[in-house]
Amino acid sequence: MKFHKKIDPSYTETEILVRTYSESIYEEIMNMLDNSIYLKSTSGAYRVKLGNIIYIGSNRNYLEVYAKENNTIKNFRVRLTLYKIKELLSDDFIQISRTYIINYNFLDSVEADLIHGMVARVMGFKIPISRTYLEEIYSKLEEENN
Amino acid sequence: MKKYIHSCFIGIGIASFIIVLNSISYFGMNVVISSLVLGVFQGIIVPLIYHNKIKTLYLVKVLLHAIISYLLIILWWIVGENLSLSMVSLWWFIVFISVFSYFHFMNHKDAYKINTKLKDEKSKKMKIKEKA
Repeated sequence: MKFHKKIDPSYTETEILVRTYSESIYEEIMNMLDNSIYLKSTSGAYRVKLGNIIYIGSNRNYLEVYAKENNTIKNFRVRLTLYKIKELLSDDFIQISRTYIINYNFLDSVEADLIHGMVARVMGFKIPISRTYLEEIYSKLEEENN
Repeated sequence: MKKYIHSCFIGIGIASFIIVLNSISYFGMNVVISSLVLGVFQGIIVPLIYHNKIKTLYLVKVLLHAIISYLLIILWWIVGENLSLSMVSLWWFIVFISVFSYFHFMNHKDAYKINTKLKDEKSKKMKIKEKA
């Protein structure tokens, strides 16, 4: 990879030029630059800021992504696996069951539930927690408290 | 303290083993062996239901567990002819409810632990914000 640096006081805005041979590499670079991910949903393509994603639920080959946009919550369906999206997410995201990943920053509380066993309250949403993934929550709590 | 509790459990295990051996003469070989086989199967169904890829609600899994577990008890009752079904069913019910309650209690305990840590962390962040 080559880097070109040009500092010119006459510029009024920072410009970044990406020259590459594939769209995926461009997307990867863009994701790194503005801490957001580029998702192709069934209704179009979106660039979502990682900090705005509330939780992600998996439904066979699709993912339901719930994200905050201004004061509303938007959800869109993406054809991607949970395993793949996990690689694109930051450390703020924790997997709490085989089918759900939540943004730790939106985690309000955890409750015992008769129907789901245990649930996480994430911005009003009730997300089931699997006991096998409980350790991920504990390690994140330890990491944040230290 | 943990050492003493661990030793107590080892003692209970040995005592249970002696009781099982002695019960052969009281209940007969059939009942004792079928009870042990029943125990093995009751243990096997737990990971099969809860730790497998069955994608359903926890409550549904509990009900499925109850049905399979009770069916195993019926099978066991057929082998041990001289036991009353109502008594066996009552014992099964008591054990199942106790185990279910234990896990529900554990869920409450874990939830409380996590919430306390979350509150601590939030108050720490608030203090840092206030200072800033």
